[in-house]
Amino acid sequence: MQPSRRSFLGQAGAAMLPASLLAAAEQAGPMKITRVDAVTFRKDIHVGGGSGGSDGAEFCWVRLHTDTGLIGTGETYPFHQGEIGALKDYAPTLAGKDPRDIDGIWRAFYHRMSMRNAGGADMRILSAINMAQLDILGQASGLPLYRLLGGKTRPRVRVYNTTTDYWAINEMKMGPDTMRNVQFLLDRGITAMKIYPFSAPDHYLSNEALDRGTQWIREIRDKVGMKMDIAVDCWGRFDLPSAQRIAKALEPYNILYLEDAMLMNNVKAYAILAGETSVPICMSETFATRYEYRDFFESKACDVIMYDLTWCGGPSEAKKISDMADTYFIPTSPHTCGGPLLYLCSIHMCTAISNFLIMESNYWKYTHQYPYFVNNVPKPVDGRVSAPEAPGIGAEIKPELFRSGDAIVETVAKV
Amino acid sequence: MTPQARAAAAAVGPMKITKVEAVRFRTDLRIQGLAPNWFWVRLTTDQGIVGHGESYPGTEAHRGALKEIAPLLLGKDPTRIDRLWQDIFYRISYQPWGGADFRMLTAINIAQWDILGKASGLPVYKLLGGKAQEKLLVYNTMNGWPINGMREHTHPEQLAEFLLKRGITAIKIYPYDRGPINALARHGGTFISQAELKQSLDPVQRIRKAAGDDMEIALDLSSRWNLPCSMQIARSLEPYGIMFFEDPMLPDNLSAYASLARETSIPICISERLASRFRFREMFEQHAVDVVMYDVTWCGGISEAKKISDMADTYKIPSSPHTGGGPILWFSSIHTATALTNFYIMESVYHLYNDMYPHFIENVPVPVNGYVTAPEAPGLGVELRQEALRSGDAVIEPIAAL
Repeated sequence: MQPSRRSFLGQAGAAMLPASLLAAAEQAGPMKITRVDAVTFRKDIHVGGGSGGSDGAEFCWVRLHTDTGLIGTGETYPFHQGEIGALKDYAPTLAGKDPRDIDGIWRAFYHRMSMRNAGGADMRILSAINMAQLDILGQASGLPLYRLLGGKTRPRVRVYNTTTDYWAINEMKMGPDTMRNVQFLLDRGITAMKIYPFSAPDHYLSNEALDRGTQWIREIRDKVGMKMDIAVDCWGRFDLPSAQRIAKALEPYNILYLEDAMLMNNVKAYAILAGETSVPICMSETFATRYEYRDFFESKACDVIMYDLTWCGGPSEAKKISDMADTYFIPTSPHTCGGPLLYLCSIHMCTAISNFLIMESNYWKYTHQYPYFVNNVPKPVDGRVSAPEAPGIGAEIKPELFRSGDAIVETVAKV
Repeated sequence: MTPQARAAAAAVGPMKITKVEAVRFRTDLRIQGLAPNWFWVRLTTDQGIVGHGESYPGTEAHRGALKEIAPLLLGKDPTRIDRLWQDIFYRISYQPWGGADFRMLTAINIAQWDILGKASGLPVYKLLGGKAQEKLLVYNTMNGWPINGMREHTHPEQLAEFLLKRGITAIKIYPYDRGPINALARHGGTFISQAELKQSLDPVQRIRKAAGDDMEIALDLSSRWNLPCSMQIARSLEPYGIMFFEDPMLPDNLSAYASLARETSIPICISERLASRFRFREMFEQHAVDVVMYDVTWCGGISEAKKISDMADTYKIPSSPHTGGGPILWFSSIHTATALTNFYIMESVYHLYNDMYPHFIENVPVPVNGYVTAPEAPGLGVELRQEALRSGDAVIEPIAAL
């Protein structure tokens, strides 16, 4: 017969362990997921705040209820019908499990979804579940998440502002309002921004469009010199020759990084680009799992990594990816343009990882969108944010969301 | 243009997708004790042509993903097959792509080929390059599909005899994760003992003893093992003339596969777990594989399967499609494989074509003397059994409409 944990401690441990540790061990006793809820949001929520285009909630939440009363919340986005559908498929095997068995549950789900090409809605919901599990582990242990990820490597996390027309600052547009955007950020101590200067109808970027986009960067450098760091994102839309021409055009401007110039599907094409240019190449929140990133590290195909905690397999996978990147001296720059829990959780991650570069943030989101859902949204001070000290993710989710009809809760599994 | 050519062109003229539907199956429906596990996508056009696509399993995630993608389809010309593929792929690859999103893209692509075939009056294989193969050699996969109660580990000799009598000369078995030894269940794929290595060979040895060299044997390992176990298992199989060794590890590190392929003379086959020409390209470049397997209802559809096989051909790598899903996968794989110059052998499952598919489909192609042939009707040529729809066994669910 297997001795139970209690009897084992009683027989072998009691003589050796101090009473305080025994109490802690009791507290860390068995725990079970008793209910899995999907939380989506009313489609007609209007956050307002001059975003320029985007408005309501593009994210959804997973809530894991336990028999101890602890509730963990995870998040993902943006296609919640597929994601909640996937949650319905996976949730029955979660009910009854100990939510603190983080790597085991991850591996079982990954194997299951790998039967037929892991990724997509399946991987996004696994990411959300993983985040909710870590939230529970933090609450159960009384520790903020960053302490479970390695502790406070830095007290404050430097952010850049992703500046687009649809998540705009007070409706300002890049191009006509480039310098108003830049000054707005500098006035608040934010000294880095990400912009999207290049677009084309197909995979080829014309010389004219290339020059028009480069003009934004020239203007910033002419007016404020090196006070503003500039990252350039291309949404993976260009072919290799266009990507090479973009990198060449950016060479003179000391760019922070060039992100997703091509789709991420050919590591050799990226190795060619990275080998040719001095502009750091950043890849990519469109990857999931350490397995996909590994290949890019080995092939010297990127200089900076970006992941999204709510897509890449969750915070535990992100930590593994960053730790592996560190052995190549590749730093981490997390993607955070989703919901409030992604933002909070990313701050925890960036507080802990040894190879941090800079974290994404968006003014409209942390000023208007996140506060609609969460009370304690960290806002940048001198261009930096700090992690909350409450146990778990530490998000103070607004209870009124669940009374006002904004949040729609659907129980998808129960013990 | 001749009048006939002009009339044909008019028939495939402007066309619009007006309706997207899902077809799901009664959850308590059992055919010979087994449940249908797939999911259909139906595209209806303003010309009245209806195309069917498929993926599996029939999950909530697929239904949800289809709802997300459907608005991209309405009003679009379904004959613009590659363009629509790319538009959807770009939409879902802002995030890590794959999973349910990608499988719905796959099902949509198959429905588009069905429509193009019907609009042009041609069977799909003729639109893919025509009849490269007169008939397709098949093997039978055992897995969880016993034949008349016979399983690979209980009746290997009788199974070999049953198949050989029907002219089927190849079998795929799972000695490492099924049966009395089940080394996978004992160690979770992290270790295998010398005793387990030897005992797991039992069904292989018994089939060889009963059928001699008349029966080809392939092994599937369900991608659950690590590299050293995979190497040990391959080494233990060396004396048995194995047709191919499939999916010992997850295909998420192709260098590990390249190491394995260098170690063994048994042809390595991977993997229906991979999707898109991008992932298969890497597999070819790494010399990680000898036979390519994809699932037409997972890998990106008929278009993507053809592109993958054509690329494989430049490496002298043949194609062996995975078909252990629903009936539209079976039809789509037959059309695709018929058009391949680098065809190897195709999977088939006796239970599926004999019991399961005929419950839903009138004209299921069945192997004759170990070979199947493609239907000649326009499109995929699938004739749905209306009774299955009338009885409520199959339920059509609206997803989006113009």
